[in-house]
Amino acid sequence: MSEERIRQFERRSRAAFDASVEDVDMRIRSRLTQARHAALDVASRTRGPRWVFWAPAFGAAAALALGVALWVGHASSDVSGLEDLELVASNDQMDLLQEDPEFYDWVDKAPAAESAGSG
Amino acid sequence: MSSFATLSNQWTDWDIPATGGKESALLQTRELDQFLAQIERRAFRMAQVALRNADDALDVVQDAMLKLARSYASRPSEEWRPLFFRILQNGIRDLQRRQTVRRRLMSWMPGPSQDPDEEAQNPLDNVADGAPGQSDLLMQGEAMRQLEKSLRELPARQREAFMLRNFEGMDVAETAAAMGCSEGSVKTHYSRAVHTLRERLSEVWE
Repeated sequence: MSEERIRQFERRSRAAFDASVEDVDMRIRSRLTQARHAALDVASRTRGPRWVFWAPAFGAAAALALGVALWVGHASSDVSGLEDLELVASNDQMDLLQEDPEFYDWVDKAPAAESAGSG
Repeated sequence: MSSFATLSNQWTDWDIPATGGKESALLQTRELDQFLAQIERRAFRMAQVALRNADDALDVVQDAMLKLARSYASRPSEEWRPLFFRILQNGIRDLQRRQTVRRRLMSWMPGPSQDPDEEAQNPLDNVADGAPGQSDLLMQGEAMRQLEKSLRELPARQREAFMLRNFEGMDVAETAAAMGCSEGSVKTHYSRAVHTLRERLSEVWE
């Protein structure tokens, strides 16, 4: 199949198609125009300011942030929990533990030994 | 590398552009209007060739226009054509699948219907069987009639490649973006389509 014959076939088929496009009747043309106008209407409505599309997401994020803030505020009223946290986080306490581990081991076991002796 | 090579990755984004005011929005709307006016009848004829029915073709083209306008109007205008035809081809394929399922379901139905109106309600009746009908009145010229008949007998992907490359004048990269396949596949589909069509039409056309 020579290149020239292929090109000729392509030209001929394109011309046949183009002619058929020109022959599309008025009913179809009218409906296509209506469809185009509907599409343009959708495009112009979709093309609003950017923030309009993100507004629901921002609203949800703000509500979530408020909820978290309220929950944290309520939890902070529990002082003992905070004190425990402070003891665990304190560097000084950890330093003492490293200096005299035998003493802290004795302190840990002493109440158990006392309760066993008394019982 | 063609800019269309990366299109398929970008198309899934829901991207609303930063508009430069009312004027640029109007300009973009006018540009989209021009684009759709240029391609609407061509798209309709391509859909009609594939679906064999004018009303189905209209529905698919209308749907493609709406989807393009809703999701991709903000894209650069040079991307619209492959985007539009990709949406259109997907719509055509979806409708063809539904028609196939309906056809199978109808074939399982036992016996002739008792309802005299059922024949008219059967959606398959809207699918032309290749015989001259209302939709064929839209076509003028024996050449197109023969071409259309041969196109309908091609595998769908070959038909798509041929129509996009030849009728729509898309290059290989654009066609690949519109079909959602590689450029190599486009070349193969197109070459096979041309070969088959030439063979089938040689007696009539030459």
